Amino acid sequence: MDFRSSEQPARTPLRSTTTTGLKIVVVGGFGVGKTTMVRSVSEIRPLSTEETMTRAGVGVDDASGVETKTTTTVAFDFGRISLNEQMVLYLFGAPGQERFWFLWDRLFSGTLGAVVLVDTRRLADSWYAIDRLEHHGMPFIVARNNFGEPAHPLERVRDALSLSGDVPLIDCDARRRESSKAVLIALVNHLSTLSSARESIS
Amino acid sequence: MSAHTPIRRLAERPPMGQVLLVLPAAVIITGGVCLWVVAETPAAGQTLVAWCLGAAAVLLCVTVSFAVYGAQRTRHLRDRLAEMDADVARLADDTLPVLVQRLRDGASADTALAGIPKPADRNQQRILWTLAQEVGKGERMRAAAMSACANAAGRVQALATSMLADLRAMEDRHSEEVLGDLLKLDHSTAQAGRLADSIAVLTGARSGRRWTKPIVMESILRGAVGRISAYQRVRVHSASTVAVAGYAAEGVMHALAELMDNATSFSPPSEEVHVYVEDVSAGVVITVEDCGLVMSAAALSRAQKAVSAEPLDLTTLSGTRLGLAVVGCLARKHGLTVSFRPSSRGGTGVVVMIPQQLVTQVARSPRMDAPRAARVPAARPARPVAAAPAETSTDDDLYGLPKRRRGQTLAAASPASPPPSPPPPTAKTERPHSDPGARFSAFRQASRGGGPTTPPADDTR
Amino acid sequence: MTSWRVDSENPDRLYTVTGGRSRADENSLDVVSLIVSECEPTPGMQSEHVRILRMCHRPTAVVEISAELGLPVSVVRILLCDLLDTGRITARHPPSAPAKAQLPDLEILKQVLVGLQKL
Repeated sequence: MDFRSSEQPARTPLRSTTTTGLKIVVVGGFGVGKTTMVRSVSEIRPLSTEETMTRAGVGVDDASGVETKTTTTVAFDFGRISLNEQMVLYLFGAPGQERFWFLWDRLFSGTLGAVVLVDTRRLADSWYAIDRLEHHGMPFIVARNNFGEPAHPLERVRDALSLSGDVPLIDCDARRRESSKAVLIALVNHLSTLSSARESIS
Repeated sequence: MSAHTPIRRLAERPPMGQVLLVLPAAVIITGGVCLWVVAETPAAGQTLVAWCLGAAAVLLCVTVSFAVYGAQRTRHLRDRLAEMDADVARLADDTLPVLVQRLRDGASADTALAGIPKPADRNQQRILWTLAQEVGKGERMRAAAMSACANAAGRVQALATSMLADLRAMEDRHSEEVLGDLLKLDHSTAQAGRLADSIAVLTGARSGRRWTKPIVMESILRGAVGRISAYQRVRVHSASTVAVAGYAAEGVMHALAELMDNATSFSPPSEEVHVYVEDVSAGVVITVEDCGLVMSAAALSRAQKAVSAEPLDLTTLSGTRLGLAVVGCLARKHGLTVSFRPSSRGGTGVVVMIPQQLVTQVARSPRMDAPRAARVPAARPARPVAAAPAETSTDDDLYGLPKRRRGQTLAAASPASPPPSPPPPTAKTERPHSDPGARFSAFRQASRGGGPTTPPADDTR
Repeated sequence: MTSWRVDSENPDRLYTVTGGRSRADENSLDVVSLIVSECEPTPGMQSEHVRILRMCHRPTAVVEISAELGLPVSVVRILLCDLLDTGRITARHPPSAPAKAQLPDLEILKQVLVGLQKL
């Protein structure tokens, strides 16, 4: 779990040809696996504060129903994916609770879209984020992070979340790079669909 | 003590020795003279002469005896007086200073008295005893007051340190709207901390913080500048790459802060105070130059005395100006040399020399090699907020999953948030508004309305 | 909450880093704006500027600079504005920074998709 060992190589610089920074936000409640997802696809170690909070937050975080999680991510961590010679994608993991929403003001502008990561054991943690995204008209998909056997079919989750039919809802395992990658691809596909739909209208 | 006793016994005995010698001698001489005269006198008047001479002789003997006795007594009393004089002098010069010193060093009155030669004189003993009691009491009062001050200062220091850390964490977490206000609080807290540090230094308590690593000169200067009120008037000119040993860093910063504070206080608010740093072979020389009033020769020498090597005399403290006394204490503690001179800028220049043993060379960019993760979150999550709505919605549970009602969480959570179109107040506010987030929103709203609260200022560097 | 910081902390208060400013004059810098240095640091420069100039030999996002310096993004923006104003750095802004919640360009999305699939 301690990915910030002192042997970590220094920061990997971007290609000097990089001109465009893009961002996608992964939002979810405490302990839902945002940092895990960012870490699984990032080319740099995610800059985060998990380690710190593991020590400082012990006995504070209400982890009822999430007994296995011992670290807590409070604010946004971010990772990076170099897409090509010119483009770099930044992935921000941000807490969905309204207390931290101010962190998002900046993130919102120019963000491609958002992934809402949910844990069915604490589904209500995502409500505020979904409300907020709907309110701002920010395109998003919902990914259920499965640590084990899913207890509920996806349709029940969709129903519980009152998601509109066009919002994709998928399963994922945030620890696995391929699975996290699939989530991002699903988001971009969703965005493309929305975008082409809009273009065809106009 | 035992040596005194025989002398005193001798002195107190009536001085009869010489009289006993003189009286027989006088009797013999006068007797002899009388006999001779009587023998030479014609027989007719012999009886009369004998009686007269006898009477005169007796008178003479008695007179001589008394004279001798008187002279001897005078001499004796003079000696005794001198002896008492010496006793008192010994009391004043030796015994009392030792006694007071022992009391100052924390001995109780009885212990201190037991450790010094006891004067034989009862009155002197009483003087000593009373003095020991009174000085001891004063000393206890002083020590109690000092320790109360030191203790209070230490607690304020601890509070300030933790507030500074909390503020720093908040500065990471909160957006620009609040940052200006947080920085103001940060600045006030740093000044309060310095005041507590000053009291701690003067009362001999430990310094507020201990840095476990050498602190680079830039940070030393910023640490000093950040603790004074008019920090924006200080211009630092430094290309120094050295660092100050961790154990001395706090003291050096504090001393510099006091000197910078003096410089800004005693120069016009429109004028800048310039700080120059020079690495020399003997250490680092830091010069604080203001263009305020030129200090008079008397003021300069007073200032110099305050920061000199003499230990702090608490009686020289004035109620309002503690700065130089603090600098003096810190200079003595860390071996800093502080000197004052008229400044080429028209005011006063203070030159602080940090000795080589406190200075370490650091790698070119000491802070480069330790990339830190974004410190954004140091927030202690009180409790995941969404838990509250979860409880309110148990009726809607679907197969064990709580049911979201669109927009309701947002509306309930942020009545004060600034969305483009305010969400309709569909639901009664289900959570108390004392929630930190809600409060923060309101706070942020207010500060947003007020616009930027901190006027843009020039860079200190 | 405070104990863990004591060792790692520096005595620099943020207002001494920014000279008392809490807001950047320039507001266009996004967290993913890429910064590129245009010159070498000079002696006497404030250490944060030196580090930014060194770090940005290659393009570096504002948020990465923030993480690297251990300073809040808003403070980093102030520092970056100083360097922008004097021409020591340039910024490459993200394509649709100002437009809120506007859908991204299809062409960009296509490239993102390709990039992600190659991952």
